[in-house]
Amino acid sequence: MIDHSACAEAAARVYPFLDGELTWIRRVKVRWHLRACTRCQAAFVFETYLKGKVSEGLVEECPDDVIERLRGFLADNR
Amino acid sequence: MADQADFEREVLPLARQLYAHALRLTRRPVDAEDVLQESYLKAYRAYDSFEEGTNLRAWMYRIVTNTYINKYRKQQRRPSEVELADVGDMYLYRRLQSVGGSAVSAEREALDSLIDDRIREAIDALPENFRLPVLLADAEGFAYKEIAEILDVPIGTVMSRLHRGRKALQKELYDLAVERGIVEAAHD
Repeated sequence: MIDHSACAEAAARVYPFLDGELTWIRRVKVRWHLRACTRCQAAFVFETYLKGKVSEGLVEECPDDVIERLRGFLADNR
Repeated sequence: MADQADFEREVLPLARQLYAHALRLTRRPVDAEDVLQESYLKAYRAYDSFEEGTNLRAWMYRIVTNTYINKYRKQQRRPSEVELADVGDMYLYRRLQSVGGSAVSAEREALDSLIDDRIREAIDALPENFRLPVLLADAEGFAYKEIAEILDVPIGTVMSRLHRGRKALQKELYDLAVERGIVEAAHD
């Protein structure tokens, strides 16, 4: 039997779960639920994937000349 | 107390990630570089008040974030908090599921086809109070406690803004998917 109030509870905690911010006992409770409930499990897989995509989409590079100019700027303003 | 002689050795190695942060905040390389330089100057001057053993990375992110806020926030027209979409948990997944069948791969495909180029746009559409914690959590991987420190708000506020910001982002992504014809709009 799946406890569907546990579905709502898991959904409400999805972000702290993915961010590694749940207390140990709450994390274990969410894990237990995910093992029992394939619907929530699929949703969590999707949320994990989305979080990864968001992180990837936010990657920026820093050109070397920015660092060179920063060094020069600090040397001039000290 | 930190010694200013250590400044370059300790703080310069963070410059690349701080520039990337500044660029995500300002979206313009020239503005990002201004923010970076001004932040380093402030940090250099305040470095003797930095307590050794505390979180240097969070301290620098706080300076960069505040420099950006002071310099640019006033000029910008951003949507206010009241305009933030309020939708249910796991909104995007549920919507994609209701229009696209049950296979997880279908939702992923829908996500893949819109996310790469539009994710930034969707995040930038968030009100600043919500955009900042999302950037700090998802681009930088900061813990809630560190985000609270950087933004100078209680940890509960960080959690609720992240939660609401991410939900609004999901709504934004779903609307983009509909607009682009990747999914057909669901009938309510």
